[in-house]
Amino acid sequence: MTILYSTLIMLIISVFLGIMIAIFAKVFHVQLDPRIEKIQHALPGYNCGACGYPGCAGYADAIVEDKVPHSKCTPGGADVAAKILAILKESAGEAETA
Amino acid sequence: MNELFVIVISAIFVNNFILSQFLGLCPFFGVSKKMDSAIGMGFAVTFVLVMSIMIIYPINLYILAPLGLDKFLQISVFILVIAAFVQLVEIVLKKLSKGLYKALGIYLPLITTNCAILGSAFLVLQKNFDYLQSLVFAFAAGIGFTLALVMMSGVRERLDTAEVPKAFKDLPIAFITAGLMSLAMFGFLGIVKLG
Repeated sequence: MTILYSTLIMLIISVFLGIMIAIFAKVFHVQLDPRIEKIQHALPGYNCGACGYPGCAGYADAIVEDKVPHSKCTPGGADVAAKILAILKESAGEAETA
Repeated sequence: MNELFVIVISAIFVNNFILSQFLGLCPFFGVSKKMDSAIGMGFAVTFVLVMSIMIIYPINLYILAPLGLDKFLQISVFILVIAAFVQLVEIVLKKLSKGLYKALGIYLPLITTNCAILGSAFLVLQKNFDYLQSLVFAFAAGIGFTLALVMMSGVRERLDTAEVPKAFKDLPIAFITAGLMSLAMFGFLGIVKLG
């Protein structure tokens, strides 16, 4: 009985809190630059910190927001740097034509 | 009324969470380099403290205690609630103040495991406070936390320009400062006694 009650209570509380967070996330939604996500996918995802930023997500954010050089990813090397440059150029072209 | 006043004085000065009980030391050193981020962190912690106590107290009183689950389920339920509120603060802060969000960085999600908040939840239950007293205690504890953070950031902003021996620069001198501040705080010890 104890196990059943504890499981049920945890379940109810988690579902309730989860719904609350989902609502808040919708209300306070922040429009992010779509390039950030693309660059994050292009990066190797080791989160090694060699670029000097906290993780790959932090570096992707910095490239777009703070205009940091795109070739700082040591494990990715020239290959990844070229991919990131392509993403940056592609969206810059889109912005000009739009 | 008198009782509430004693709780406030006790939580802010006599039993200050950081300087006399040594709870929540991680952000105390992590976010105390600049006054602005120290104030932001203080208010984030105060908000999470008050809101989580507001939810935790009735859950414990009306659900966990009658079913006899409060002995072993408390910690998990408390952490669940606290983590949810930290997530809310993060979402709201990201929308309203990008600068503060960036300045707090990793220390914002780390409020989840901040023992000042979990500690105050257990202290409230241990001292048998009623609902109002618990909320006042949580708020005062948050203010005490903010006070310690702001004092520390004031000192550290000065230390940045001071001539400190090279080996003591930055963090080591901050540790020594924290020790001295804590000693000063012990001057308040025994002024008020909580029931």
